[in-house]
Amino acid sequence: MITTINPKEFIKVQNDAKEAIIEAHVKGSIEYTEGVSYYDSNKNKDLSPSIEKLIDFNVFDYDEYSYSLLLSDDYNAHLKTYTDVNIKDIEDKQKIIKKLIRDINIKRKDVNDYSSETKKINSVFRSIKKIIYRAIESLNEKEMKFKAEVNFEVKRANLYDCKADLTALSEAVNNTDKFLIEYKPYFVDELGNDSVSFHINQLAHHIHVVRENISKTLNELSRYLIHIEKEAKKIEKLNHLYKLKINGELFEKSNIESVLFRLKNIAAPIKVKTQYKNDDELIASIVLLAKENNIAVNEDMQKEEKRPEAIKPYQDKEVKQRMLLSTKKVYKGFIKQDKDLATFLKQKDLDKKQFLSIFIRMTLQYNKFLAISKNEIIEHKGIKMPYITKRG
Amino acid sequence: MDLSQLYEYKDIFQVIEDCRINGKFINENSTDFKTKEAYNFVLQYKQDVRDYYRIIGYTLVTDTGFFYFIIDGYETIPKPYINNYIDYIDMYRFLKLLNSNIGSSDGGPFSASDMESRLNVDIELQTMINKMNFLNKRSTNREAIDSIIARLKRDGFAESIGNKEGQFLILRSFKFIEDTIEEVEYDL
Repeated sequence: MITTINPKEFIKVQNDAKEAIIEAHVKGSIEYTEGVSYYDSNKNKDLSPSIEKLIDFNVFDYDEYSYSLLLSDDYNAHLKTYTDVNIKDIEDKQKIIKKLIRDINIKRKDVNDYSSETKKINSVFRSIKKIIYRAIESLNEKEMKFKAEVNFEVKRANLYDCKADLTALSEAVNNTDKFLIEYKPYFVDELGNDSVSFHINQLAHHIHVVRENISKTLNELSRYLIHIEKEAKKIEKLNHLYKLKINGELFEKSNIESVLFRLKNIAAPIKVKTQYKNDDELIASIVLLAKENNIAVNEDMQKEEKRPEAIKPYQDKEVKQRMLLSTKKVYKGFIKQDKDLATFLKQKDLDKKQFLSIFIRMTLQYNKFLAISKNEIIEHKGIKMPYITKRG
Repeated sequence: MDLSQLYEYKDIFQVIEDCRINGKFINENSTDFKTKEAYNFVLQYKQDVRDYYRIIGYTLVTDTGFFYFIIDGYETIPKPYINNYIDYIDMYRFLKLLNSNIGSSDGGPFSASDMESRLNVDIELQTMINKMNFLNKRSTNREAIDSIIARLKRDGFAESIGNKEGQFLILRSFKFIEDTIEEVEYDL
């Protein structure tokens, strides 16, 4: 996984920093410690933004142990390739540390000073931490970008790449943790070097924090990929159905007809929409048809009450129901007389449900022509209803 | 629910009635305030609404994020209506390949302009949409996208967002199409 830095931007930052450093040097605000430039952000406020940008670009390392600013050992590599994050670098860094340990051991035998090796080791530990941090940042950014990708195949391929990178990172982090456990006794007990111990602890703490996040992200991504695979199957199915359709084999080679049969119920009212919108007569006849077909009544409904019209002879039933269920007809009858709606409907010998049904539909459909009094309540068969009369 | 309260719910009942009579869906993620209110009302008084409409031969169907009514007792599907639903094999396939995020679970909003710019660079998708003879006449890619959106809106699966030109929502009711395709099985 490689992230490219814009070379123009990099060079600009480098030049800005160079000028700022020269200026600070002229002012005398840069101090030297053991041959390494010492940077104190409080003293060099004008210098800080330029230096921070260079830290961002990994030109400098800021050593929190000695509060020093050091030239990054990745700097030369950056100048050559302009690359930022590479998970494989973590493994290379471990090899560098092993090599440096070997050098230290040789120097110790000859009782030579090995402080430059320990400084390098500290720098390597810092850069491992930085690589892990940047890899996570970059992968999170990529994951978000890939999930929003609209082209399905591109999205799928990218997310699998992202998962591979994330898995590699997870392994690299685990390896680093093992590496630290293995070498910590050497640095702490054998060398007794405080600065290296500090950097080891810092890296171990960082790993502890990110490890959970990485595995969580990896789990999420794996779940998302399962979803993506389901989507892929859907697309494959749609492609196949489309082929069958254009070859005229859809009904022959699939069960689509019986599946669409499920739609019969909802299909009907949409059909009504186009031809008979708001036609009371038609709705009444649909209701009638539903009743003639002895509509499926749920068990709890059956326990309540069996509707009398279901057992009446066909002819009578049709006449009676049409009369009872057409709101328009009831309304016409209602406006010809002076009683309130509830009293008017009481005369019609309706059962409780029919009574309620017609009462609600009348109120809803003709509310503009009705006067509804909320203060006066009429009671019929245990139902409380408002007092409704015709208007004017 | 006391019937004396009916007058207070008059507006809500009018929306529900409109959905029943015209075979519309009552969607949770509708941009229309009244429909949303009706959805919440049905959700709260599900059993009352179901009982009431059962009397006149309608069944309230509840699904994830939407309601609709069905009439019991119909035995045949009008042939043109089958064809209408078969059109969705083309449209659903097109939408999935255009933007795989489009679906009932992620309603968007989606932008017609984004869809157009994607269509402009994909010849396969252009061929796909050109073959959809059931859509309105269209000469540009934008018109093609607009006619798909118009069809989705007409069938109750999408809605415009307020005044935002070219932005639309996929409603929860689109699951109806997804489920239908999901159920279909075929021979290889």
